[in-house]
This record gives sequence, structure tokens and C-alpha cells, in this order.
Amino acid sequence: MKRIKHTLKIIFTIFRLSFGKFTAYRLNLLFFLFSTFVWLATAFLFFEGIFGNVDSLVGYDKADMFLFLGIGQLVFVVWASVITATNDLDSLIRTYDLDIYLLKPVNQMLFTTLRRFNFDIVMSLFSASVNFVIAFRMKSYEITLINVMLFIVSFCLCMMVLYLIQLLFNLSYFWAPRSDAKYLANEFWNSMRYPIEIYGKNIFSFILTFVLPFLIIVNVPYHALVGDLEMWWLAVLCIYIFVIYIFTSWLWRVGVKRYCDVD
Amino acid sequence: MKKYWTYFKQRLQVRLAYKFHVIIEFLTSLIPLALKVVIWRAVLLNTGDVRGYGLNEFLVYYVLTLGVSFFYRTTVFYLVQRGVREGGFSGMLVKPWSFIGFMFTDTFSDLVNKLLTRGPIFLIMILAVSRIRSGLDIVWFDIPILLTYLMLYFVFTFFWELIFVQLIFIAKSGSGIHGTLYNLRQLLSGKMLPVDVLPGWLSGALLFLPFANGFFLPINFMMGEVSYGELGVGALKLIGYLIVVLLFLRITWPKIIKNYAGVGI
Repeated sequence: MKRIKHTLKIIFTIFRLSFGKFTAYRLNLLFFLFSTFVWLATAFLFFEGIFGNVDSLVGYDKADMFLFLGIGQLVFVVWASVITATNDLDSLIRTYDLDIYLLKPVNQMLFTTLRRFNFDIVMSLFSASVNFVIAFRMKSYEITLINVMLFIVSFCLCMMVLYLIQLLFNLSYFWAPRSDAKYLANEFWNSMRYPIEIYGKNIFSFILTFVLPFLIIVNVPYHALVGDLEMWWLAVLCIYIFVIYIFTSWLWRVGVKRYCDVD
Repeated sequence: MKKYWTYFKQRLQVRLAYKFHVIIEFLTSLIPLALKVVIWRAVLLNTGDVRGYGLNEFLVYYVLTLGVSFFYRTTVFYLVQRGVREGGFSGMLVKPWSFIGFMFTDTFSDLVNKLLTRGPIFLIMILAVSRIRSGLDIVWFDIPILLTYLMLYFVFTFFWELIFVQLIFIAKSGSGIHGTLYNLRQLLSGKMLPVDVLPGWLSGALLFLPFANGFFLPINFMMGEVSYGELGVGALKLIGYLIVVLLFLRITWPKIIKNYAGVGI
């Protein structure tokens, strides 16, 4: 109980400090909001280019793609607001500022990589909700309470997977501080916005589904929401999270040991 | 001029020290390119071509976007944001040179660095694509014409971004402004998809603006879809927009600098 209270206190402090930063640059927020409008227009344009010429894309119509985009945008909000600090690891290692976080009496890996909340990105929730509204106006989906609950569970599991994959890429900085691994992960990020079927059945789609499962991050919650998710996906996600968490924790310990040696 | 040349050489030297970084960055940019081709491949499963674009043409188009993108990457935002936030900007202002010239030199060194480090990979890709796929239609004497055109686009985008950079002095943060401009570029230039794939009225509207003129038009020229005359008209439009932007900056830039307090936050 004391441990939970302590953790909650830390999370609250992180939120408070992040909110302070958020309010310090108010005008910048307006631009963030405008930026989401422009991003939305880009998505419309892209879909106009595609669905102006075909009725469906590998079995998905325009409404489905908007729903995909909405979930993808939700993933982006969580990724860029909560997981954002994971991407600082390279600079922390290069400047030896990681020492500060290693001295804290908490879980070092989780604290270092989740220590900041980026409120700016919350503006993108607007574009996510617009996508949902468009999708539901274009097509009547049968959404039940169970679907919604499955969506929430699968979404949370997928976000954990995304965090761990991102962390896995970033942990390489302990060995190669200028490896640009995070940019590689960021580029893979774009692949998850589309249905798996687009990629066909080949070795790359297999790797991006089961080894570095970027493709399932949006696909699984989407199918949970529309009610055609095969339940074994949830078991696969749980096993994957367990295995990859053990692996990243081990890799973190080895990396920190190496970092100390270098320092 | 000598001081700018010295600064250019110094910046280029620094940038070339991280050439491996630049090459890796370029290689990672191939992932979204491949993704776009995969999406269009899926679209083309249902239809033979999309307004004259088959898979070959889409592949050539997106490879060419990589090369043209070299000419629209400015470093001004980061320079100014750091300077304004930390108060170091005043140090730049007291130097015996034009600050805009200093920023342009930095951005230009970035362009030269990209052409030197990424350019060869891009050329290999172009050669590979032109041998395997049809759709590329340029002759050797087109290269200086294209480079001149793209340099015009580069100069325009530099000053265009400078208009928005001024907002950093007020907002004290440039991330939202930078994000807006990035998304605008994606939206208006034709980087996401060829402008002529869009409905006629929309592509017409986009081609009236400078971004599609600077980005999409030279790509279409290389693909043999645009004549020298049309490229010339595109260049004139760009020059027109550049003049408007310069006139705007001439009024606003001195006022912004005058009001700058020189105190970091």
C-alpha cells in the first residue's frame, strides 16, 4: 500500500510539472491545435486521392479507414504524450545526465523512460475524435459494450507493447549512442496506421506482426471495436508483453552497467 | 562575403563529421516511401491505374520526392528557438553580419551536406529505378535547369519559414509552429501523393500555391509530364511568391528584432 501511494505521488508530481510546462507556452498550443487541423486535412486529401478512384482498399471502405485513422491517432496521443521520454535516452546517455535518474529510489527503467507527460499532444485528441465521428456517420457499426471493453483492454495492451518495442530500440544507445535507433522506430510507426492485409503475406509483414509487432498496434484494437477480434490475440499480447518486459529489464541492467563503466 | 564563406565551411565540416548519421536518416526515410508504394499497390489491385499512374509511376514519383525533399529542410527553427529561450540570440545580433545571412548560410550548409552525403545514394536509386521501371524522362541538360529551379524553391522555403520563425519571439517555443509548417508542407506540396491524382479543382488550387509548384512540378517535369514552358511559368510563380514574402519580412523582421528583449527564460 505504501509503495502504491509512493508511486501515485510520483505520477502526480510528473503530471503537475508537465502541466506547468504546458501552460508556460500557451501560444504554442494554438499552433499545435492548428497543426492537428492541417494534419486532418492531409488525411482527408490522402483518402480523397485513394477513394476517389476505388471503392474499397483490401476490403476496407472509406469509413473503415477513418476509424483506423482515429484509433491510430489515439495511439499517437498516448505514444507522444506518455512514451515520449523514452526517446530522450540517447541524449541522457551522451551527456551523462542519466546519472540523476539512476540515483532515484524508484524503478530506474520505468522512471527514466516515463518521467514526462507531454500535454501539447493532447490537442491531437481532437483530430482523433473527428475521425471517429466521420467513420460513425458514414457507416453504422454495431458497437456493443463488450466490444468497447475489449477495445480498451486491447488498446492498453498494445500501448504496453509499443512502449516496450520503443524502449528496445532506444536501449541500443547504451552500445551505440549515435545509432539513430529511435528514428528507425519512428519510421516503422507509420506502418501501423493501415490494415495488415495491405502488406500481403510475406516475410516483412510476418516480422512486423510477430517479431516487432508494429502492425498489430492499431489493427487489434480496431478489430476489437468492430467486433471481429479473435481472442487468441489478447493471449499473444500478454505473452509478448511478459517476455519482452523481462528481456528489456535485463537489457537495461546490462546497459546501465556498461554506462557506468564508460562514465 | 568572406565571413559567410568561413562560417559555411565550418558548419559543413561539423555536419560532415556526422555523415553516417545523415546516411542512416536517409535510409530510414525509405520506410515511409515503401509504405506509400505498398498502399498504392493495394489500390491498384482493384483498378489498372489511377489517373495515369501505374505502380511504376508511383514508385518513380516517390523516389523522386526523396531528392526534391533535400531542398526543403531548414534548420532555422532550432537555431532561433534555442537562441530566444536561452537569451543567446542577442549574442548573434551584435555580430557584424546580417542574422538572416547567418541563418541562410547555416541552412545552405545543411543542403550541401545532404547533397554530398545523401545525393549519391539517391542517384543510385534513381539509376536503379530508371533501369528497372519506366517513367523517368530527363536528359543531361535538364539537370542545371532543375537545380536552378530547386534552388529557387529552397530560397523561397527559407524565407517562407522565416515569416513563421518570427512567431517564436512571441510564443517562446517553436514546436507547434514547426509542426504546423511540416503538416502544411505534407498537405500542399504533393509529398503524400501526386497532386494530379486529386480531383481537378483541388489539384488546380494546389498548383496555384507555391508548394506544389516547387515540389510537385519539378518531379512531374522529370517524369516527362511537364514542358519547359510550364516549368518556366512555375518558376515565375515562385519568384512572385518570393517577392511577396521578402516584402512582408522587410516590414516585420526589423520590428521583431527591435522588440526582442534579449532575456532568456
